[in-house]
Parts: sequence; C-alpha cells; structure tokens
Amino acid sequence: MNKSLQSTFILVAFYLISNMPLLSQMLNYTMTTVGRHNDEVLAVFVNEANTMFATGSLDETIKLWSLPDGKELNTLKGHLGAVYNVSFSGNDKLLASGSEDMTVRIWDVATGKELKVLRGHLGPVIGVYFSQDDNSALVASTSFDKTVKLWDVASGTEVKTLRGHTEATNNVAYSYDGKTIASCSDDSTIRIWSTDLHTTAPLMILRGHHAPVLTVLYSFDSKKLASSDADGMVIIWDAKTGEILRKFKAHNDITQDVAFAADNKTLVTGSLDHHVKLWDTDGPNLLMDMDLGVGVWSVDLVSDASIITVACDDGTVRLLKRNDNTKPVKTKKGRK
Amino acid sequence: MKKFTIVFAVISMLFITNNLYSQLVKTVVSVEGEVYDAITHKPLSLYVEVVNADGKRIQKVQSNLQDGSYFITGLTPGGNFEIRIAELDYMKQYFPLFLPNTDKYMEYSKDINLIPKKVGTKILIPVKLFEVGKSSLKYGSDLFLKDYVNLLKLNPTVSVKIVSFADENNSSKNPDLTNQRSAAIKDFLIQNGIEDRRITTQGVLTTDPAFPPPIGKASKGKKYVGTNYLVIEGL
Repeated sequence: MNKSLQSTFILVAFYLISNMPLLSQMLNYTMTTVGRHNDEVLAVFVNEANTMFATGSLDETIKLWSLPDGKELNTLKGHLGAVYNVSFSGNDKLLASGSEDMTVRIWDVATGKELKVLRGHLGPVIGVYFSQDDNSALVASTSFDKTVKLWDVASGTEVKTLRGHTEATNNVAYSYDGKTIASCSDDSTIRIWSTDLHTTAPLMILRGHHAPVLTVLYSFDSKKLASSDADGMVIIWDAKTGEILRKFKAHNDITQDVAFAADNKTLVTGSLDHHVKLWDTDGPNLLMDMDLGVGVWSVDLVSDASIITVACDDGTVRLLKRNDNTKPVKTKKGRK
Repeated sequence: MKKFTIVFAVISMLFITNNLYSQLVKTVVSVEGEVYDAITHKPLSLYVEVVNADGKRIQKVQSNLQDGSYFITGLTPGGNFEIRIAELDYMKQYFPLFLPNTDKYMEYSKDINLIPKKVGTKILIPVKLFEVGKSSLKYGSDLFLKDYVNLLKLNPTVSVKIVSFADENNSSKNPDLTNQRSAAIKDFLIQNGIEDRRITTQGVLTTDPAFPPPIGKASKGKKYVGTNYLVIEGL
C-alpha cells in the first residue's frame, strides 16, 4: 500500500472514531423503582427547585415524591377520572392537574389540599401547564373539546378560550418568558398563541408532523420548542420563526413526552416502545438509551439531567440516576 | 404657603377628576363562548341571556348558526351572574358565571352544552361515580350529580330513568351491582329535592356497547367501570 493512501486511511479512521459520540460519550444511568400507583402512570413533572416531583395516574390520584431519594410524600385524591397531566407553578407552591373528569384542579403542594376545581371544558382535560411567573397567575389547559383554555387561578375564572385546532388538543406549554403558549393536537399541528388576553388568533401554525402531536415544550431560554408524535418523531423548532431546526426518529412507538434539561439542548424522550433516551439535540446525538421493559408514558428530569423521572404503564414510578463517573450536562439557571 | 396651596389644589383636582372619570366611564367586561347540542355536538343558534344575582336580565344575544358562537358585552364586573338558555327543543339550563372585580376591560369565556328535550335522549354522566365492583358513590361525586339535580329542578315536568351498566360481562354480581348503582344515583337526586315519582332505575347486565371495555393487549391492567346515564322518559 502506498504511503499516502495509508496516511489517508489513518486520517479517515481517526476522523470516524473521533466522531462516534454515540459510543464514546454514552452516559450511564442506573434505574430504581421508587414506588407505584394502582394503575398506569400517565404524567410526571419535576418542580423548579428539583426537590420534588408529581405523578398523575389512571388510578385517579396524584402522588408527590421527594428528590433525589424518591420517597413518596403525599397522595392527592379528588378527581373522578384518570389524571392525564400535572404541572407545578413557577413558585412550586401550587400544582395543577387535568383529568378525564373534565376538570382542572389546583392543589396546595405543602398541605395536599384541593384549592380550586375549574370547570368549563366540554371534554376530558388532557394537558395542563402553569404560567411560570412568580405569581403563578394563570393555568393553560387542553382537552378533547379541541380548545385551549386559560384560567385565572385566583378567581377560578376562564379568561380566554383559544380555538382553531380541528381535533383534540393534547398538550400545552407556557414559554418561560411568559409571552406565548404552544398547543399540540391530533390534527398534527402545533399552534403558538399570545398570552395577551385580548389576542385569540394563533401567532403561528407549525406543520411538520405527520401524526397526532402528543406533546410540546419550550426550552428554558424560550428560544426552542420540542414536540413528539404518535409515530415516534421528535422535532426541534425555532420558537420565534417556526422553522424546523432538527427532525429525527426518536422511537418506534407512541412518544408521549419529552423534557429539556437546563442547558436548553439536552432532551429526554420516553415512549411506549419501552425506551427512555437522552439526546444532544444539536446533533442530534444519542447520549443514553435504556430499555425499561415497560411502556413509558411520561418523563422529566432535574436541571443537570442527573436524575430522570419516569412514569410507566405498569404503574411503577422510576428514577434513572446518572452514575457519577459519566459526563455531566452543563447547567444554567432555569427550572428542571 | 402659596406654593403649598397650589400643590394641594392640583392634587384635589386630580383626585376629583379621577373619581368623576371612574363614575362616568364604568369598566365593562364581556363573555364569549360557543353553544353546542350535547348529543350531536353540532353548534346551535339560539338566545343566550345573562341575568344578575337578582334574576334581572342584563343582556340577551343570539348565538351564530355557523359555529354556535356568542358574544355578550357591557357587563359590570364584580359579582355572580347566570347564563340562561330557554329554548323549546332543549332542556332549560342555567350556568353560573362569576365576573371578578377589575378596573380594565376583560373578556371571559364560557362554552355551553345543551341537552335536547326529547324522550329517549341519553345523557351520559361523564365521570366515574363508582369504584370497580362497588355501588356506593365516590367522594366528590356530588359536584357532578348536583348538575343533574339543577337540571331536573329547572325542568319540573321531565322524568328520567337512571341506567347503570356493568363493569364486566357474564358476572353473577351484575344484577345486584347495577341495580344498586342506579338506586344510589336516584337516592342522591331525591335527597337533593327531586321527587321520587320522576325517577325510575334500571341495572343492565352487560357492559355499555357505546363505551365497551378495552380488549386484548389494551385491556392489560386496565380497570373498567360501567357507565351511567339519565334517559329522558317523559316531558
């Protein structure tokens, strides 16, 4: 073999090896089951301070758990149907839940007391998301009735109904700058709405999914949106322009939930294909892939992605903890 | 002293004009929403009224035939109101409306499902009132069942049959379970002022064909609770 060819071969091999982060930089996590509901666990949400997480279940209850140890703290009862989603307020004092019983309920996190029952949706409530301002003034909700509603928490009144989705609305998220709301739907679109109470037309309609869009979430700097769909596709959007930044097949089954870490680029995804995956969305590069052996309905993580909380379809609540010897995710100030 | 008097006069003037302005230009708020047929889910065009706590009508508008939308403005914030709809072909229904105090214009929202006033109409109770295999009403059921108490009070000539479906097929417990469930709902309505003679009950020995239990892989680990209906029997 001639020398220059040999050098080229070595260079190419070196390039290929050095560009294999999938193997060289994979993060190691250890799974523990910390408890269970009496039925499938549909939702999980980590609070701002990373000291607690909440789960919602088909068993009609909400449970609060401590972090990092995963000790069960309280069980909140009151819904008369599956609890599809939960969300802490920006100040961690309140929790909102959305249920099959068509209500949004507001709970006092410290006491577990039900503070408000918000009735107004004409179908099961699928998504809830608290505004992340210090006052935690508003809650957004989505429903099988195709609408997105905004509720004033203090008075319990419906201050805005956003219409336009042509099928059930699945999930909703507030941007962390408080300016916009994103909703996703079985109609395969994402709609961006102003939080200004007098604007009711969508600011943007994002098209790119070819299946029901199951979740949507802003990054902490409010610059990006992540969404996932029933075919296992994940899309990262420019939140300002609506441009698709990344689109990739993350899973082989329904991918019900995603969550950003505080670095605004690390994303966890969970699917009914039994896998939880951690991604560097700049690639996208797969940082971790764990087969849990059960379907995953919902995932969330703490700010530095050292702990991933998982809601499973066998009723278990699991924590994936990163082993200390693996590379940490760079953190910035922000929730989760 | 003169300076002080001028400052005092200016402040007084500002105070007075501000109060006058508030009295002359009262803050108003609006309510928007859509009205649907609860069974067909089609939008309805009909008269929507807002009445105050004294029962006095404040506004009356007609909802749009295309999308069922209505918009009511000129409402004074701060207090409890009611949205009332009285249409011949639909059950009379009142919907509570709370408008919080505010010093700026606000729009609130209220979507409405109207139940057709027709013999045979099946009104699904959309929440799980019972645990699997149990016949006592769950804690919190009253919040939803009171809607039906109000419905029957507002429509005093209407009689209903309460129909309860089973949690599973071919169970020897079904006759007792479903009869006891429909009786539990009836008891609640009677205890809250509805006449016994207006309510009959029926326990069904099978699961609800309109909302069947999940089968195959989807049924694994799932708890299925039989549905309950109010069926209009007489007008």
